[in-house]
Amino acid sequence: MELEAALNVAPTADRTRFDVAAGCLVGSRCANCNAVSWPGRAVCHGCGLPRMAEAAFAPTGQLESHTTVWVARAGIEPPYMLGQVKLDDGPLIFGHVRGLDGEARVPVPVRITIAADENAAPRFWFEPEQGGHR
Amino acid sequence: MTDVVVAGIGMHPFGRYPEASLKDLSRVAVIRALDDAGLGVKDVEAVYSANAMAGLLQGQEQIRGQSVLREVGLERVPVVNVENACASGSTAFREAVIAVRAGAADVVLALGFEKMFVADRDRSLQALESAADLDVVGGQGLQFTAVYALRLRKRLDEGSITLEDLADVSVKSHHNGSLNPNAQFRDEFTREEILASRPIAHPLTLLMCSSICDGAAAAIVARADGLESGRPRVAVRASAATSGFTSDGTPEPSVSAVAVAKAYEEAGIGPDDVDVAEVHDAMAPGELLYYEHLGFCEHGAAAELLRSGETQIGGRIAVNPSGGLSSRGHPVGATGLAQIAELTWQLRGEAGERQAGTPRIALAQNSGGWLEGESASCNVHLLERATPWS
Repeated sequence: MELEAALNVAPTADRTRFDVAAGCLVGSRCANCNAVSWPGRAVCHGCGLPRMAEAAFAPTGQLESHTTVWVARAGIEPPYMLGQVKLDDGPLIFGHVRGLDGEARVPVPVRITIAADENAAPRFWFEPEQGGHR
Repeated sequence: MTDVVVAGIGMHPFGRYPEASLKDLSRVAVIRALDDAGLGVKDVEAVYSANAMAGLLQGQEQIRGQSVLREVGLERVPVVNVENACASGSTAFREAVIAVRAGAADVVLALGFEKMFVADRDRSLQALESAADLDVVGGQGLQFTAVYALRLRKRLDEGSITLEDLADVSVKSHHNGSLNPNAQFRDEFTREEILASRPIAHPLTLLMCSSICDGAAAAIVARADGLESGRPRVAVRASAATSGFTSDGTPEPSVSAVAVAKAYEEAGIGPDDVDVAEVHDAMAPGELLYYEHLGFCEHGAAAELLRSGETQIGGRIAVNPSGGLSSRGHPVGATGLAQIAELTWQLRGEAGERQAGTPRIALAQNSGGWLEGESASCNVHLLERATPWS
């Protein structure tokens, strides 16, 4: 039974999520139907087969929406900007956005930065591409 | 299939009730629902009990239903504890409907309760954040105001919805809430006051958003032929559910659109048949998006429908006559059942100043949680007044 392959994948805590040197997110891509996810998964949400292979995604994408949040949360001083980014060859990612005007119209080309420090919070964020929309 | 009715409904008013425990909130909702149905505690054969956050906020992680039900002497029946974030209440209601349809019980209680006001507000916000996959988004300061803001932002930039529309739908919400004795917020506000209120998650302001809230709501679900109360009969015509999915950013039908399509098919009706609706507007402007997802208008036409006045009380299809989540209040686990209570009052003609004409078909849409692009759960129910309006 092919599905049994999902019993032998690495535990979630051992899966790579970031490539700091390359500055990109690492997730999974289905060898059968190409569906992508971050973080990586054992079984594909698109086709239900356990043919997920580790995949490094493009560091660039399109910011599809953003919002400036004014409510303080533990360890996060307002205002801060949250957004949804469709990576160029990858999934839809939720994360912090820095260096963008709160009135900027979407979509905006953005690039991800991954903090080298494993304990950084947030661990990654998006900024407008150089020469892109400010 | 067995005909199922809403035989009784009850609420503890929504708001801030520091003196009321989970047991007190639940007691009022359950007793009122039983009283409304003309039934006693010992008539209840099974319970589906909804709550989202008592584990984190009150420490009652397990047997939440049993612990509050003993206060009203409800013991020795099957109790199933249900959690589905903001859609917990409608999930309990749906399970009660399924149990009656299956013949497992003739009289089932669906209860939802929540107590979100605790001494430290950040604990409440943290509990709310757990309606997302914390393994993926934890620690980023996610809040649901931001989720709604992200959904609306795109539409503002497209120009299909304006800032004034966001304010105007909130004016409607506050107006309806002002007429509802069970509502958390009962003051009316102008467009200017709403736009000038404190920014929460741009473009949403304080007066567009639901808040932290305490409350409870309950419904008695029963076999249609088991009870004769002599009052207008409210039948459950459809119960549809779905869960969220991984979005890759490509436009596709929302969980609400998926659930409502199933519900319309089950009932053999369409959006034009709906006379009154309660939708999941945790932030009042979210109502605009649901007009489109539920088929009340074409994609892109939500603002036009709002501006036509047709969704006000007295319009063609009154939406959120209770004030919705943002004004009636949103004690997470109770919300789905408060929607059922409001629609039952509407179908019976018992909604007082909020009465939206003489509705026959009512729709409840309740969604919960977030999977970084789509809600994590969604239930849609269609209710029908099976007794002709005289």
